[in-house]
Amino acid sequence: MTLKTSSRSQSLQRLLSCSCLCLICLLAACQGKKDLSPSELDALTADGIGSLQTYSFDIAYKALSTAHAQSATTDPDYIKITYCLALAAWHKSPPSHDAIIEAKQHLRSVVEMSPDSKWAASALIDLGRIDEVADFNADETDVPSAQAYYKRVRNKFPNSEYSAKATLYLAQSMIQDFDKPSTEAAAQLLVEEMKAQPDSHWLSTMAQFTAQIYAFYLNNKEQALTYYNTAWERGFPRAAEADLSLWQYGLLAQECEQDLLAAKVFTEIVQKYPRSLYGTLARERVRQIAVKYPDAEIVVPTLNAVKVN
Amino acid sequence: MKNIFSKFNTNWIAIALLSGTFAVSAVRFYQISGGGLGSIDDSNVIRVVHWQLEPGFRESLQWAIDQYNELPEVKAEGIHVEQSPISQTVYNQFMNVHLISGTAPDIAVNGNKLSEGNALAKFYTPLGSYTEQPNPYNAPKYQKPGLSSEMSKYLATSSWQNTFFDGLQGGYNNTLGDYYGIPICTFGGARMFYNLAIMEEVKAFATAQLQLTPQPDWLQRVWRQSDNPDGYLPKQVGIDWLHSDHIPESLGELFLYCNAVQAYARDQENNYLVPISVSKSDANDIALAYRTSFLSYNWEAFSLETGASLSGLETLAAYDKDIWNFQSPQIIELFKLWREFANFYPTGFLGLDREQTQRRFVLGQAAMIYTGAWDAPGIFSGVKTRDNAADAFEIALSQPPLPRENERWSKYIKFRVSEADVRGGVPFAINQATPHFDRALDFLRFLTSHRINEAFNKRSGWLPVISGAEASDAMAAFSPVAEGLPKNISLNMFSNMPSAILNAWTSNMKLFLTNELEYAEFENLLNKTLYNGQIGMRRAWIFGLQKAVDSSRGYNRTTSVEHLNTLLGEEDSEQREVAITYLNLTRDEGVRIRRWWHQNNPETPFPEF
Repeated sequence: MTLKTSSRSQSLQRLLSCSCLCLICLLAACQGKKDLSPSELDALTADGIGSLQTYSFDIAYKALSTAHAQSATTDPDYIKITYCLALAAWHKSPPSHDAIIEAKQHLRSVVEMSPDSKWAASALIDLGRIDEVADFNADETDVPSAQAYYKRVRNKFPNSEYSAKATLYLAQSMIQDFDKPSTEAAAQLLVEEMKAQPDSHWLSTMAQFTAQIYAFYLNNKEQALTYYNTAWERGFPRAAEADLSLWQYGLLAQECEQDLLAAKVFTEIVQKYPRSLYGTLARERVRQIAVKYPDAEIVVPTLNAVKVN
Repeated sequence: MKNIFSKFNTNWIAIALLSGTFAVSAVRFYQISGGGLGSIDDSNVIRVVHWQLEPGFRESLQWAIDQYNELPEVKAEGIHVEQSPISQTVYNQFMNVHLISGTAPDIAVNGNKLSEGNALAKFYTPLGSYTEQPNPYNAPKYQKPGLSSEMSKYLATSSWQNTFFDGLQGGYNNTLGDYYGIPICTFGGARMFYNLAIMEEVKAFATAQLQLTPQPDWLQRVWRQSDNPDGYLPKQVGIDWLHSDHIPESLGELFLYCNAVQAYARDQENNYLVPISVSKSDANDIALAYRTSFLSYNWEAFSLETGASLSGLETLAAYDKDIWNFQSPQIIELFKLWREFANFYPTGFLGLDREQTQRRFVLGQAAMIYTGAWDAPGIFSGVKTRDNAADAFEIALSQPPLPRENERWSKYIKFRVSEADVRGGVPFAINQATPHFDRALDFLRFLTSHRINEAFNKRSGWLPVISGAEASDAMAAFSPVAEGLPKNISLNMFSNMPSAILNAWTSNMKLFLTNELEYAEFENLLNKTLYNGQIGMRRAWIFGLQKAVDSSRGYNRTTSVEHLNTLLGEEDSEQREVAITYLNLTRDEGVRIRRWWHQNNPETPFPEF
């Protein structure tokens, strides 16, 4: 019962805030462009972007639509607002054909107006994603068009983080049909990008994804191990699931009869991830390998206790 | 007169009752809305909502809240924290309505269905940026006296996140890559509770029965020997155990004890006494503690992706390829073990709830109960405060025992399930719409400071969540044990399945456990569902793909937001973007599921509606 009273004050605040936003939007709509003061426009933009950052795409869309309509193309934030509006249109609920068309228009205008910027590189990748992925059940995909966008990013922004990301998506789009030549080409593309950008923060993602392609799409587990090792050395992209990645790496090593490598990987699980569910199985595997290779003098690791205090 | 009554429509009584209730509610609402019932300025109240109604929790939380409300700076601001416990049965509905309407409380336990996936980020505040700093309430002036200088320094200088025993994993959302909850306690593993008073009586009874010639049927059934391969344990081992004062230390001894309790109850004509108190909740079903051992027997052959968690679709694919079936010895034996246990459960256990189950044990009408740390304080205090002090009894706790060599099922059960991944529980999240974010955050820091968290959990009888905080002696038995199998390598027909398969499994399993369905009929009924073209395995693939596609839309949104954060220069978003992009790459549009299908059925297109 007491919740209702607090709810009332919160509702009132929210109502007032929404009313102000609506009033600004309404005034802007009635009186045409450039009627908001710069500070009002800044506030509206900040509201919109803030909503976007908290996944409130519908609210973001309303605010950013108004901010976009009120901004001059010469405004320093115009490109940013246009890009954010595109994201809001893309992800707002319910997804629709019209919203997707609108998102694409905004993304294209970002590319046209600021072709060398980070916003343009991001917009091109997003255009690719929109074409590649069905955003609602009846949404038709256009993978060749998506690939063209990814290639454009690779050409326009070579040896950049954008190029690495575009390469990942391009490779992903090439393996979807399980066609072997195309899948091999995808893996090769990633290998070349890794060579070109050994310091990219996408390197471990590229390496582990390449390992996945070799292991599960091309059934070449030996080759997968090479890239798994790179991902391990650089830190797995999903650090929170590092023990799971190591477990997979160790099993693949055993499948390739590289038991000593497997023992090293399994030992890492036991020693470094005491909270891993795989600790016992990993230790048992090391124990079996130690028996199989007595000369290797493998030390069977001890499972650490899980401390709750 | 008769005529008047015959014309009276009894529906008017219902209408009058409804009207009266409405009027009372309206008056109460008016009173409360007007602030007539409280002296505190409502705009300065921080409300904390949770569903932990277990004995001791609310009182302990209230103690922590009172401590916080008494802080001079909190008093000076006029801020007041209040808790509102809500029953678990309506918690989801309550939170969903209030989150959507923007009227949710300031702090709430997250985890309701609405706030899954990136909807969590829509309603609750990401806390990652606050967890990197030390918790100010772990500063030396707030610490409890007597801490070692090493611990004192650690608490004072470590990031808030690193003061949690699990590194705050209990509040971490894998998909969103941020912390959306601050857990305040730990559940630990589930344990068997033994009523030692009953055990003493039952052992005395069983020992006397040993002297009978011939031994009674129930004892003869228990001994595992060449003419009784379904016996549980070797005779001499069982006799030795009955003469000892130990609780069951092997599965064979546990089954001997269950049989003995049942025989004792019959002998005493006690219709209420059962070996194990069980409810409809899986958390009480001791048989499930052994399920993974049976169902993970050939996990490498079932897996379509080496090393990944085994999914329901892989289970079905392996079934379809006859890698396993209901004639596999491991499956048959699991069902036998399950039914053996069910024979020791109370009649109608599938209709009992947690409270009824707990009460049965507390009242001495069950020799054992299997449950988690969350029920322990209620059980301990219930037993201690029996109306008649003579009815109180001692309790012993242990993990479910494993079979020894030469005992039944020793071939199949080598490990328990690992508890290594146990995380902090009751994760409190901060509502995005709260006007008191700073204070709400401050309260959670206070509640998870070493001194307060230790005292709070000691009072509530739960395990603390902060490193170095001491648990009450009674709770030490619930500390997680790492040794064991990962639960995600088990065949899985019981989650993430289309409703028809799930229902076929669960409803027929209930009938099987209650001896209303034989195993062959169970298999037959399940096969009918699995091979039904409309609702069976084919649909499971379609269902699985649709779920994966829906998830990938969620990943897409998260990727967009994290990339935007990176573009805007936000720290840490780059790593989150990398993590979520990897999920996008490996699971996009259900590519993994389509690959599994392609791998198993290279010539057949993916099923469609």
